[in-house]
Amino acid sequence: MKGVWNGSAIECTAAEIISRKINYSSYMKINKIGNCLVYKCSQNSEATVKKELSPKEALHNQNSNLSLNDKVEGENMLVAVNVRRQLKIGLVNHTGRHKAQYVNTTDYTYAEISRQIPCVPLLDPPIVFKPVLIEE
Amino acid sequence: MTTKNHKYISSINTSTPSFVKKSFERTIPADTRIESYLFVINEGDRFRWMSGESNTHISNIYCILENYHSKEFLFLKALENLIKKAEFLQLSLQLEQELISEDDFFSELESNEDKYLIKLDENFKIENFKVISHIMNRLGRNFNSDEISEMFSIPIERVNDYIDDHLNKLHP
Repeated sequence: MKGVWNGSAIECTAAEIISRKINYSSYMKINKIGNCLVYKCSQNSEATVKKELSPKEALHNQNSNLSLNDKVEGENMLVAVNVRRQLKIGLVNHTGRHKAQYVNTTDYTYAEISRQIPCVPLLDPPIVFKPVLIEE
Repeated sequence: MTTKNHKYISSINTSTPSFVKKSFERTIPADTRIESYLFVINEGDRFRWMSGESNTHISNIYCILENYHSKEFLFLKALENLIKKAEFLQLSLQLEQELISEDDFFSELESNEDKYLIKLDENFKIENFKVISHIMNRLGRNFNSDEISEMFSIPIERVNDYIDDHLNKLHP
């Protein structure tokens, strides 16, 4: 399944992230996941599930796509990875002669579209973030 | 305490908190009119005001002061988070340049977690978004919801909800 609208998200144990620009943003504590490095991808970004969660249950957002090869594709994207060390970002030939930056994660990864591609019509009703409730 | 003063205290509205009454007994001179009291309690990001009847006409001044206090709280929060970001980047850079070992890096992160980790404030009050939008306007550039989220420690879904609500009000 491919998500292209604002709020479309994936959650997985390993992911491939490709974007024109991948920037480190902050080291943040996120509920139920733990301490994560947050990256911001801008200008044509995509993330693909390479390894499913085990058990296959969303940890952060109930509307996340969880299956293998599920993908989100948008203009800007927010990525949270449950690691403490900065990820190695490489260069790849992505579309035609355009170079892009890529990163492969091997830990819990959450990716969400923060701004969809402008030519894609807005989804009505929009996808709403539905947090996974923490059991007391 | 004179009997005259006791008379005044007994005439205080029953909604006046007990600690206010106690403070009167202890500190207020006998010739002071007790209707003119003003108590300000600092509760993190906001003030709680309690004032006597004769002070109600200056309530607008309290609102201005309260706004400044909320703004100061948010400025401090933003500064704190920016410093945390910079500190973490410096530490990561040291690791990349092999000035410190991986063990040192992880032990530093574990021992001084508060120095590097941005924690989201789950009790963030929606009224504070008005103050944040005022700050953002004065900075004169556009911010994404995730930038606002990490700058002021607000869960990102709250920022998105607020923006959606605001847009719905503007374009129903």
